Amino acid sequence: MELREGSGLAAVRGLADQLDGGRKHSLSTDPTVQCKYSRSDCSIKPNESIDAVLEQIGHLKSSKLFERGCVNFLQMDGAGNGGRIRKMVFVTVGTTCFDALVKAADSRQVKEALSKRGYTDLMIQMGRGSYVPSKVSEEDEPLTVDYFAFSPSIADYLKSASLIISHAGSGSIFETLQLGKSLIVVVNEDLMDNHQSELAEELAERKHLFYARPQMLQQTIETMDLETLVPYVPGSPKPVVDLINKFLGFPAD
Amino acid sequence: MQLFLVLQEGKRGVFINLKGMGKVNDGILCFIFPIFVTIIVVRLMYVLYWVRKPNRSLRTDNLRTLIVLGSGGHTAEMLRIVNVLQKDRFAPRFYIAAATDSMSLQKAKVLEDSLIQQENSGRKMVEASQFIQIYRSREVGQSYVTSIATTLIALAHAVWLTFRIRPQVIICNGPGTCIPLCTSAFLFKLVGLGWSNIFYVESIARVRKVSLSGLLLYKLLLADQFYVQWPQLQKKYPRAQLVGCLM
Repeated sequence: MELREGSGLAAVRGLADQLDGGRKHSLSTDPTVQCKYSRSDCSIKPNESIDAVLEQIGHLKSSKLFERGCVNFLQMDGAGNGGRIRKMVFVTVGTTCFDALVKAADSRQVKEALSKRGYTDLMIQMGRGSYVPSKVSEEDEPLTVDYFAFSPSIADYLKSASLIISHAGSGSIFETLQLGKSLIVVVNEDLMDNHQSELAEELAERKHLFYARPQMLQQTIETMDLETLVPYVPGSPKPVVDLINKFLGFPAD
Repeated sequence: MQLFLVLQEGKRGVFINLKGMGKVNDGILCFIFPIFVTIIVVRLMYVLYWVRKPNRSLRTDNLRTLIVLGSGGHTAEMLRIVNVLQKDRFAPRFYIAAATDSMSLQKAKVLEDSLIQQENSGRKMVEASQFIQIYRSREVGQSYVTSIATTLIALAHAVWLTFRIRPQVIICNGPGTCIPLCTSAFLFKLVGLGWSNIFYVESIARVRKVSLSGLLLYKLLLADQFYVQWPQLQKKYPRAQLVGCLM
């Protein structure tokens, strides 16, 4: 049974029950509370024993850690011996064609760099590009690799990922930041009118994301310190709407 | 009376000479034409004066609102604004997107459908929202020569749509589609065929430089209100108002 980022409480409770040989855990029954825990608060390391995992989950339920951080993939093998965490990297190019990024992400150096940083899966949304990554399952390669072209909504992939590498479109950037995810933005240097880079640079200066060129992706992954990222506080359209109403002469709300 | 438009070659080059038959006609021409021009100029000055002047009296009616959508992040930002707009004040709503943009109108429909579900029966009945496509002035990468023709077609279509919709409020945030529409709305203002307040919100992706649409609307004084999301832009364009990031 697997847990992933954003797993509901029911899934966590189910897993805890399974691990604990059927002894029910009394977790909150509120279905709107998302199950998350922070890496720094209870660190489940790769190959940790089941007892340690159970202890962590018990720690979770009593310490109300359900508001912060991210749940990593938690996978148990059939015998229930030991666990492995899966951490997914999601690469997205939106509706554009950005072969340089897809190629860089699919390159040996970047995959090894990601693996060294603890990531286990790479999912590439390749958009309109012509370069096709190679699907790979784990055995010899550093990472499992999978890809697809488009999806009506990438929200689920974003929610399941531990790291997102995205093109510089404002839609992708803000959808990711609003989920509180770690983000590396890669600017497409082939685009003629590159107004996108302004936004990425400004947000990088404010430490909301990392900013890289395709050739620098490997280095950025190797040297990035995710703890230095500042969470992005979403803005509000209310000031605009208030000003519009005021100008038109509508009474204030 | 017959009027001749004659291309006359003079010392300083070719110029247009309006020739009438007879002295009476000359008189009328010397009289009517300058008056016509003066009327236009005065009207233009009147419009430019009243543009950007807020409405001082308290308003309670509902306003026909035109919402311009665009590809990329434009629609996402625009719908975020529409979400917060008071639905009874800004109604009926007309959404416009370029003919080649398939996603934007769909997203707007999803928003409007969710509103219908929330609607309670106590509200007064307003016209349903409409979703309209407009010809694109210029595709990305199109040559500038053919762009002139397509822009004129787009402008003609915009004039027709403005006539049909008669918007009182126009909200746009930068896609090329908004230029023919705002120009057309301004022309209507100029000839006294209806007054629409144009609100331009520069996209969040514009941090240091405004977009071409924004620049045109700012410099040509077409927008009633010009909003920017980043302080760097507000410093550069003093007539703009800073509204902070809306995403």
